[in-house]
Amino acid sequence: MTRPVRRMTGWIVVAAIGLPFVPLILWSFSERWFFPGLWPQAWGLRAWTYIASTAGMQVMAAIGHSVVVAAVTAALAVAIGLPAGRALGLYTFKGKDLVSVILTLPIIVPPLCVAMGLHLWFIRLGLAETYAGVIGVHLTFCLPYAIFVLWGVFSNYNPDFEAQARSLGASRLAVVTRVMLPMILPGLSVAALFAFLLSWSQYLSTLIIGGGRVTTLPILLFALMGSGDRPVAAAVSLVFVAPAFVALLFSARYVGTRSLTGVH
Amino acid sequence: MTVSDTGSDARTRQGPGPLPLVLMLLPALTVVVVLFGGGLLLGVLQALGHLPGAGLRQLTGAHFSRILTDPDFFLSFGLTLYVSIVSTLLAAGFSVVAALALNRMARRYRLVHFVIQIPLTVPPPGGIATGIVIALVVMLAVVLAQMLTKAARKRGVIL
Repeated sequence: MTRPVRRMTGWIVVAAIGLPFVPLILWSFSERWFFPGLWPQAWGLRAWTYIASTAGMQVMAAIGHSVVVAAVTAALAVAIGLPAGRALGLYTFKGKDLVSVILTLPIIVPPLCVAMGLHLWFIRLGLAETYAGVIGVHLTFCLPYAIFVLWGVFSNYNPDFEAQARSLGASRLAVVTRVMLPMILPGLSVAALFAFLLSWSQYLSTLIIGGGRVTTLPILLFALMGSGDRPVAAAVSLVFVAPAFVALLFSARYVGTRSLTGVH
Repeated sequence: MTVSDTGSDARTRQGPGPLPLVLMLLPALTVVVVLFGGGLLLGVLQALGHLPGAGLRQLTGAHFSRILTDPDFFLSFGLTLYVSIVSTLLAAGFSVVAALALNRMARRYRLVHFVIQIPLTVPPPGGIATGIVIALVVMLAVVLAQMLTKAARKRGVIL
């Protein structure tokens, strides 16, 4: 592929991703925008005032729920996924294929297929319509992704450095905090970010297990979009994307351009 | 010293023994087997007609045979298969080209690296919103194209 062609393909992809946001922003600031108009016929802040005042409390509460659920899910996914990723990435053992199939199961099986079974199961466990239940069901979908990112990280990791640190008198804890964690930090943050964003975007599972009692942002977004008010829907979508966008901004700064190099 | 300075790999490395391995994998396996596996099992039992809450305790394959003899089911099955195969092929073809192009650009421009990660942050409900927006863009493009055609016709560029 020649350079200009390659460059153009790249910019097309970037434009394809960026472009849909332009009308979304236009919609959120429009008062009237009917079919033949290329631009909104009347501009205004109605949608934003609605979100800030009328639905303000709901939106803030929903953001709070979403942040708590996604942060706890991401923390658990990384904490549980780290040892599993290490075992899978560093060693070969009997039954490794079986273990990896079991751990991929929540990714392979479409969530709709297990929705009814999961609902019954969570009712039996007493987790339906609770925060813990929602975090639990998010965890089943986020954990596999975290494990697979960390599996890739650990297959490029050299544990000999740990042995060297040990031989130089470092304690087990020091080996973890001063050798392992600094070395896998970029991959670890990618895994945490994946888990956070995946939990942030869960709609179906939150609705089924939360039963409408745990109103995260996607639940509220659907309710508001159902009203058919396009400017409000656009504004809520932007609010919905914003925190995830901030998380990405943070990680892009922190992780840098080489972040995904070690991730398979 | 970089992370990828490996002297050995998973195939040649001495394992830490069965017990540490089990301890490392157990938490993850527990979460998936208990939470997800339980749901999957109950789902399968339900499909086999086992619903103790409704007084149904006998296992039966009747529901499966009803689905498998329903022409509507195969129609939708075929459509799903068609859509996923076509989109897989398109995605595979386009993503190879795009990956080659973006790999080089992302290294040079930080902005590109950032922008290609954005779809990760836009979750399905947001995706639906963007879907509406894309439909809108297409609509506007059609309007624009019609206007241009009209203008071209007026000037006699085309018939």
